[in-house]
Amino acid sequence: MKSLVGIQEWLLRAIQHPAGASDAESMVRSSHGTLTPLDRVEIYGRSFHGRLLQVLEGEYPALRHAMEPDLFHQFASEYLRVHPPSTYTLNDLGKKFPQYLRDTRPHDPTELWPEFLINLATLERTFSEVYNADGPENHNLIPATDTEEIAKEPWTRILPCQFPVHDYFLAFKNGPASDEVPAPRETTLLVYRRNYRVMIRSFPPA
Amino acid sequence: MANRFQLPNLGLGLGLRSPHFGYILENWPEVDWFEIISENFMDSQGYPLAVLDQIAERYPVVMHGVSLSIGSSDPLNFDYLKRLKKLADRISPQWISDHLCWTGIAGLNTHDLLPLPLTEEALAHTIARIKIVQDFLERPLILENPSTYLEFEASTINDWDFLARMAEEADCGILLDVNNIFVCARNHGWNAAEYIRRIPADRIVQFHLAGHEDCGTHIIDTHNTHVIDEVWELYRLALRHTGGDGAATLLEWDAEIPPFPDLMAEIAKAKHFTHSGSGPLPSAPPRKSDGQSFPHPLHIIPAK
Repeated sequence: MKSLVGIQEWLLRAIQHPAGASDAESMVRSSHGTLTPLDRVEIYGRSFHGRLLQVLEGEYPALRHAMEPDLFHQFASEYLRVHPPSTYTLNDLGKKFPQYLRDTRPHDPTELWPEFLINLATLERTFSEVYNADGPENHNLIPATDTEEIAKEPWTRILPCQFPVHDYFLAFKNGPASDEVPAPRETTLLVYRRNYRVMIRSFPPA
Repeated sequence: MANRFQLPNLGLGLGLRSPHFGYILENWPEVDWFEIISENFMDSQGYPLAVLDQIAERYPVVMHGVSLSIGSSDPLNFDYLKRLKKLADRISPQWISDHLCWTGIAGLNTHDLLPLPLTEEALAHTIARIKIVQDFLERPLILENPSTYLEFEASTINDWDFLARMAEEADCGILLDVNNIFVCARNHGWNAAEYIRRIPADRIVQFHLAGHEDCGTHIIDTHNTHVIDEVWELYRLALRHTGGDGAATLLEWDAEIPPFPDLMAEIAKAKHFTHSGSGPLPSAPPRKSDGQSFPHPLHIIPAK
């Protein structure tokens, strides 16, 4: 009889690659109903992939819109293959996605649209991180209003961008969403928090 | 029969989900209690935690986790447990629960509630870990029977006997998910009523109710629809099993989440069983699957 660890190692392999689970018949019961052992493993396999994709879609909705769903799914699926979830929190799942896009971007320097997508992914990830991180509400102080002072606050994140992705991102969130890649424009963004809301300000103001 | 931990019957509660934050803070609805998904809050220092602080001041709250991975053959994650305890120290939950399952090993976390092989080895392993966790958290752990879609050839113990022996030998509580029993009974050919009767009643601290989808050949535990009539009947049986006191009851709805008043109407159906309700319940037929839904949908709080 297989040990607990042996069975758990087997199920994890089978979930990640159900088609390769040729030994499912010897591991999983088929004593009830019409589902085969492999059918039963595939329920977990489909769930594993599909649920994690949904999480990435939830964290990167503007990027998904910009890439269009099919291309987003291709990149996200490959990202999950290279960076499978390893921690207890789903907050970590998409952490390396912007860097993954940068690592896999086309090498043609004349193609600027990949940089737009990377900038946009970085902004969406930063937005999520600032939303959950420490902020001024947890401290007894008066938040700054001046841009240069905001930039010095410890919870402010500063993003140098080649595109004004904040305009695209805010249009997506507040509507109407744009289907056009904006013209490149060097922009530095401050992503910070006020009264638990994540704020974005271009620096210096456009 | 009250549970042996003297944990209170909190009445009828709802899962706290982020689409309802605004409604709750504006209306302070008449809900007996809330259950949170612990992982949605234990790493937050932002709006979700600020909302939870306010809710915990006004309602009893239970912390329900999905990442303890009590049955994993990996070592226990004490960083996770420290964060769990820190949140518990902050909001003083009525109790802390999770699932009788494992979520991954060797650096891979599937974020799914995976089935255990029901063997003497797995039982001893799980019991030992529950004791460690209970010592660490300084409170009884309450564990839920999950929905499963496969059984291992290696299993030698019935699911209900595994759950009962685990609870007795580890001295922990049981969160009896009535919908999960129904799902498993259909998927594996179990007798759902017999399952309930075999669970030690004084270990049952809480019930879960939820909706599912019928795929024809099997059922998926989707948490995206109404509780069906047959699950309500099992709930009636489970209440009788626990005696007149019953146990805290919670409705889970994690996908296609309806407006908050709709959830209140759904959980109010439980009064038909917990009080002297009469007359027929509004019938809730099974929902057929379109093949697009996933088991036990993940719920994260998206940044706003």
